Amino acid sequence: MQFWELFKTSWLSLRTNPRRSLLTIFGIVVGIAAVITIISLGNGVKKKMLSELQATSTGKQTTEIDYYSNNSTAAMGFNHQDLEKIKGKFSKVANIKVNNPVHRVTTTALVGNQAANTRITLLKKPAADFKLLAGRKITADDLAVANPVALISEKTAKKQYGSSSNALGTAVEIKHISYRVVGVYRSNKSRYKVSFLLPKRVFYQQNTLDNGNTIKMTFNHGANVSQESKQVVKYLKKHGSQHKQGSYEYFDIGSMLKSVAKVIDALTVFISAIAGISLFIAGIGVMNMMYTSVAERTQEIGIRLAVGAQPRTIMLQFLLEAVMLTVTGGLLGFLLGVGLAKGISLALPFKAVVTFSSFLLAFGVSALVGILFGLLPAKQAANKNLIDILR
Amino acid sequence: MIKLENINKYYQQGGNQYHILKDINLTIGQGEFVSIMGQSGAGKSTLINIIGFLDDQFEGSYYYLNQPIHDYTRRDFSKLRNQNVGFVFQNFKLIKNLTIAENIALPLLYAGQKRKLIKKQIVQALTAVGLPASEHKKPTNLSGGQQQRVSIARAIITQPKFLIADEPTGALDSQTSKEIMALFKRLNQQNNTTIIMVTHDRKVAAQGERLIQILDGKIISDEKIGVKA
Ligand SMILES: Nc1ncnc2c1ncn2[C@@H]1O[C@H](COP(=O)(O)OP(=O)(O)OP(=O)(O)O)[C@@H](O)[C@H]1O
Ligand SMILES: [Mg+2]
Repeated sequence: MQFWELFKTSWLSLRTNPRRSLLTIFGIVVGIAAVITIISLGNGVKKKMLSELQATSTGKQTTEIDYYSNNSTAAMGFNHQDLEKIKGKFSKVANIKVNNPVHRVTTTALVGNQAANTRITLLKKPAADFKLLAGRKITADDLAVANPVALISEKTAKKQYGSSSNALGTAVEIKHISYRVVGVYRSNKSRYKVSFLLPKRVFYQQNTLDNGNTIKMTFNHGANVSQESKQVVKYLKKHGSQHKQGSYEYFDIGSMLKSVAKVIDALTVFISAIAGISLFIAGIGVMNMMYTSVAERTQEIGIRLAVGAQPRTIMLQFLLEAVMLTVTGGLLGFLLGVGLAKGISLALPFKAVVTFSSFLLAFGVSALVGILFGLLPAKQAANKNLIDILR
Repeated sequence: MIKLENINKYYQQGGNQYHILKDINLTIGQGEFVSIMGQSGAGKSTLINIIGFLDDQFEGSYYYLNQPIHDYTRRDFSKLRNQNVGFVFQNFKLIKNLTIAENIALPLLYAGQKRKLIKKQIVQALTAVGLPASEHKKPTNLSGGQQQRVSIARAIITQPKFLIADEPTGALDSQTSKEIMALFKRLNQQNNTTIIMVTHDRKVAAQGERLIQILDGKIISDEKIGVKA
């Protein structure tokens, strides 16, 4: 018989008793699901680890060092000199840059002729999620050419100029740059509960870009980034511009993830062992079902042999039934495992990663269980004595 | 076509050995319609199972189309069965959870054909046995006579050289028996299919053209009983 026809024959037989088939594969579903879950989580933590050791698009790795000030009004932790010093001292640092995640600053502003402490939000992109009361917004062009323009909040406008329209066209001086007020806005969003919105590029125009509380270092290929970063921190604690007013910290996410990975590796061994037992018991179940099936279908086997089935074909038919059964269990287990891993990783700081090799593992292991435990019943089916059956 | 020489058959049971067939010599030519009669336990079924390649455990020589079948392996026997002989049993031997069409298709599938390409042959076979348009029924929904027609359709679908029928009418009433025998006769006459049939019914046996009687594992008579129309 052609293989495909044999395949269909086995499938049709399985379908005649779906409940028994489903019960039999339950153990396989559970075993495979457990293994796939833990492996996907393990893959997830390993991937996260790699990305935290931050391979950039060029394959170079980056780390970050943060500065925590002891008192809130103090100056930023890194300045131009700090960066130059690190560059000169550590040859493996390929590039160093200050991160300016700060988009809200408090600084003195000259509004009219009055100097006052003023809160400002810096815009990197044109923003539209507020209500414009007068004038215009800050456009992409303004941002691109670093146009010194500002939006003023309705509250500040009323306080300083009496009305929204009065504020339009006035100038405000912040950190030695004069901004022209082009619009008045109103918003309840916390990031807009400030007096002015300014283009970020204009605000950081004068070298002040080298000031910040976080630096990002890119290392040359092959550098031990965690060790190098620790060295830099050690150096900064002695020689950093603000080392007396605060502390420089390097949070080694990589090593934290490494220990998580170790835990997951241990768990993987443990769960695999349990899943192995589960699969073994499930395999015995499959064997039991196949023996029962062979006994029940003695007549069918006799008829098939009588009309010319090769004993080998009969064996293959029953073996295929066993394998299709367990592989169905394996695939269901795979889906369940993927679902579980994704669900669990919602509560973890990394995402589950499902790979094609996990799929192959589920497929291969379940097929193997089918072959191992289906072989004996299938052989028994094939070796039945035709004359005894037909009597 | 079929030539048996000194066939002996023993059954082992509980330490005792039973001699079931004793020195059977028999020749059957292409197109013959042979009836076999004899007491219960005489060895009729044992004999035609050997003739029909169902039983490969026997002593003696069996030449089929001048081939020494007695030397063949179990594998070869499967192939011989598939390509040369059709079976009709007293209790029909249909697979209950397959449809009629699927039952009839079995010999062709084991001959290596595809389900899709044999639909026409199935329709033809069913028409030939007088059961058109019942492909999708299950065997349990048919009467005994209809089931026997299905098993005949299965037996003839590969257009075998000969048919083996072990009490084909044993479970049927006399009217249905007549119809089944008419079907056999037609196959024998129209297609020149050799038919070897075991029966307990004299009237049924009389439909053949040669009658072999068996007693205690021996052929006690072998005679022509009618003239081919
Ligand atoms: N597989 C077997 N094992 C042991 N003895 C067997 C076996 N098959 C048949 N026999 C014995 O061989 C003898 C002949 O059996 P067989 O079935 O050929 O008889 P038969 O002529 O077909 O009888 P019936 O008309 O009742 O069908 C019987 O005595 C039976 O008990
Ligand atoms: Mg008999």
